[in-house]
Amino acid sequence: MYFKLAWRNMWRSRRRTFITISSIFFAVIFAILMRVAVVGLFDKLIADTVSLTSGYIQVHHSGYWENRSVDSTFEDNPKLTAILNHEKEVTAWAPHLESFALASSGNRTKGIMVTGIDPEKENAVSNLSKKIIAGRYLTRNDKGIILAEGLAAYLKLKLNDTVVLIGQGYEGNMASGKYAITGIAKLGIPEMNKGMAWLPIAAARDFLSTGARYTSISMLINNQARLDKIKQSIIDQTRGAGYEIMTWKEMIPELDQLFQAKMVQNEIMSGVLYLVIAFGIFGTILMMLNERLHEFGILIAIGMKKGLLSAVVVIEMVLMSVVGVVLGMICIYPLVLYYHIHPIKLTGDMGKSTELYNIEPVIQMSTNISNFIIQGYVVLLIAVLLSLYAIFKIHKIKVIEAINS
Amino acid sequence: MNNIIESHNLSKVYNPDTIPVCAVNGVDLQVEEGEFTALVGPSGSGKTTLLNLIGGLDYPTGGNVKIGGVDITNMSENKLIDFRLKNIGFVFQAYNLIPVLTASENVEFVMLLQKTSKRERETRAIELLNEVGLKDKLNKRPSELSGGQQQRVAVARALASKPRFILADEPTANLDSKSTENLLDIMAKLNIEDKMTFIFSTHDQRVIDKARRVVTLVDGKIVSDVKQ
Amino acid sequence: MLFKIAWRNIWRNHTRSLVVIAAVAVGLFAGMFMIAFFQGAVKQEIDSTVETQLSHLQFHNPAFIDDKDANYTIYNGRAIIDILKRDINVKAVSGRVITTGMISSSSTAAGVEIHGIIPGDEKTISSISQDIVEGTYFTGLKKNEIVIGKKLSEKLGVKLHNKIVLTFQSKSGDLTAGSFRIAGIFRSRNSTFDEITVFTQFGDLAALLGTGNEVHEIAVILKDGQKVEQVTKMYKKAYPLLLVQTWKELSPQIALLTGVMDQMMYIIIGIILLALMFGIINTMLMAVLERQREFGMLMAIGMNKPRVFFMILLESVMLTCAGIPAGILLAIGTVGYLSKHGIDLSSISKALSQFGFSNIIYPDLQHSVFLPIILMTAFTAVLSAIYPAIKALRFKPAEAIHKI
Repeated sequence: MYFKLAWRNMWRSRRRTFITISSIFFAVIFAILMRVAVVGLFDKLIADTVSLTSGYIQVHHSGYWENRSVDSTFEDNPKLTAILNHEKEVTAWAPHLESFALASSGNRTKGIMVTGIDPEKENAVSNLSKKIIAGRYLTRNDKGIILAEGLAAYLKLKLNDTVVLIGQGYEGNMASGKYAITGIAKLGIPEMNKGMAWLPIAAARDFLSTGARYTSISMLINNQARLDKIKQSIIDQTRGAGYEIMTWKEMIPELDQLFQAKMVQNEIMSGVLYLVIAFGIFGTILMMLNERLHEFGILIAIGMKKGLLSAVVVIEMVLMSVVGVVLGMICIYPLVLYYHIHPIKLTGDMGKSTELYNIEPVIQMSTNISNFIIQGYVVLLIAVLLSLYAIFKIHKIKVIEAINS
Repeated sequence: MNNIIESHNLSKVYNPDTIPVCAVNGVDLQVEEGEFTALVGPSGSGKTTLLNLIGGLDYPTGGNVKIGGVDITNMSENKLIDFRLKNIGFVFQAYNLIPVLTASENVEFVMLLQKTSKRERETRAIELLNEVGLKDKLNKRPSELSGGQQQRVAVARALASKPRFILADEPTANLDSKSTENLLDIMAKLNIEDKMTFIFSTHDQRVIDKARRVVTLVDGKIVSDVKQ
Repeated sequence: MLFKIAWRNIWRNHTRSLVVIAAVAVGLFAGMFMIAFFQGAVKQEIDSTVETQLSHLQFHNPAFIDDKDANYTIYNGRAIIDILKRDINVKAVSGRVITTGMISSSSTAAGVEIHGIIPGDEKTISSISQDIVEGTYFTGLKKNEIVIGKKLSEKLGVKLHNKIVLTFQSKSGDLTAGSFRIAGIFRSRNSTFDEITVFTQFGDLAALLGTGNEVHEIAVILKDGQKVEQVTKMYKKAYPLLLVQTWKELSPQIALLTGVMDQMMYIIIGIILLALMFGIINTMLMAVLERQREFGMLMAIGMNKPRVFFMILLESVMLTCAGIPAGILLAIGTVGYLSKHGIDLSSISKALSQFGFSNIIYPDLQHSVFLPIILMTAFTAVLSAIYPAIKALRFKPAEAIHKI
């Protein structure tokens, strides 16, 4: 019956309840929107960056990541590939032979990253073939090269033109080669779009004189949350072979740092929003306690302990908070889902300013439930704090004064 | 001698440090079981204060109060609340009831506090509301009842906890004459049939007329104590 | 008279009034704090980029921006530098020779932008000289010294005093290379910058490029950063054939940052004010409902509806006026303290702190922000009172009085 009491009291002042619930509803919606926008943006940014470069997890020769030298390569190893194929949580993997090189045409030169790929496996990881906007994707035996769009533009090259690559090969040998442009790919991330090129691995090996070796194997995983666990599993299975296994966070910490920094800023913003809402609700509570002082007096007089009374009041408050949060979550989900499937394209000034951070001007909202649930915790916290106040006030009630109010 | 209430040299002084007001000044009062007693006196005579002291709603500044032999003078607040629950019934001047509960739920509420079983609560609530003549208003909320009906529900609720006595502070003050008569008749009936002790504080002559004992207070002291 | 009544009414119920005042103060504080926070963040971004890369304005040969060919030097560059040095608006000038190329160590190679600088001049312009973490900026004594970023040194697997090779295209179009010894390693806020920019001495680089005394880039820092538009305009006129650009023109994205921030700010403030509105409407509504009897009575004795409405609004205005100074003080106090000590983001986020580089934001409150915010808050507070005030008018005097 106490629950009945709390529930009915909630509806007693419909206006008050409505205002309280709607302020929570409103805060939850905005907090969720802000969060899923940032998380979504970064999920995509990380996915886009990582799928074309480091992979979520990478296997390479011990010490390779420090200096990225072609001298630090490892041989093709069927045992390793078997382990990777067997690992259920690794959804795709691709081998790379990559190196820095100077690309030039005429009197234009640019430093770029050239990557030797296994076209099929590469596609599984980075979907490269879908990014081709001119020409075609590579096959294993091609002698040609794919340039990123921005790079081709800078070098003023088109399909079938020739580009010269110069680099440092195995054991310091000069690496040089001429390649016909088989295809041009467009990448979303500005810097990457200006500085990447791909060769079939055989051609890359020729260029760098490395023989049947790789610089790295990048992989995709199915569950971000298990990043470290999966890494550990691979480490365990490849112990003693001289490999180093790293996660993207270890390989590209700046990316993670940017993400964390933005999240903190976001959280501060949400925090402020919730603060203002909490204040509004506090006003409500205050008023409610005032209004019902007489009633509380009677209840205590006829024998209701203050603790019990406080409990009933707290249930009321928690109920309202829960309704506000759940309603907010349910109502905003469809919108988030829509913008997840059809990401928002940023235009105009907004769009250009994202270039600064080397981010594609697109916001794809994240549908990860944890973003929603976190709001529940925050509101719960607010409800608890406000409850404490209510409990405190109730305990201070002097029966007679209350009855006479 | 069945003294359910006994006070000895009971006093209550407000604002002892600033302007002391002696609301109750050395009152010795004994009330037996089955009484139908009115506390009367002009405004400011201290009758409400005395009632509060007897009901354990306030602490005296001097003297003591025993209910059923138990000294409640220095009981802790929580113990007092519990004591009231088990021993004392209250009917206030107005707004006695929980607005969001129906009449029967209001009566059940006090039994709920006493942890009575659901079935017993429900049966007894119906019984009591019957006794006060409200058997067809069981599911009505206070806002749907007249002033008089609300007070009767309050009486039913006060009875529900099976108290030693019921204190009523100006219970008829807001009622018209018909309702007043109704209420008084019911309380008188309960007093005679169920031997329920009633103590009122009142201005209302009709109440005073119906009382069998009238205790008059002036300036915090009992000036007359008459059985009629 | 209405004022007196309104004023006294406010103080009848301390709690209620204090709640509204506090709500207004908190709302105002929240808005100002948010603005200060983001303005601080943006300012830092901009300042740091200006200090390390852009300077206030730069001069280039128009063709150089597209294609960093060594041939595209600034005509009469040296003379211009002298003129700039004598300009009273100018705090510091530095002429640089720049090219892109490859840096290689024994283990690997990477693409870099090579800046040939005169250390004495460059020190006054760029803060990189203060970001040296190992070694020295340039001793000026040895030939072919190079200063590289920490990130790059790690990538190349080299340490202080190691040798590296720079390869690039000279003025004549030939591929030239030079061996340099690492004299210093720097670390700036921008790790990408650290990875792709290296510094050598002007003479050393010019010799290899074959550009002699010519410069590709002149960077200027003014005494008063606000004057950058005027000064740039002046030089644009004086040298119509050269590309003279303010830092905003050099990096439009950064300039946009401020614009975008402003837009976002208004949205955010709007949201906060909306939140504020909920709180105030609620409290005022309750106050009005509580005072039903009183309003009924007032209307019964002859106070007409507009007056009652006005009285309630007046109360709301007064409460707001009390809340605003409180909010401002709170904001100034907090921002004042934090702008000196900074908010250390890494202490809030454990994940951030592992990066070593402290992520501190110094909130920054511009005076121009005060008035709009205050007005918006006041407006919102009063707007919130309208609904409750209208409700009060609905009371019928007779009903209200008998609500005993």
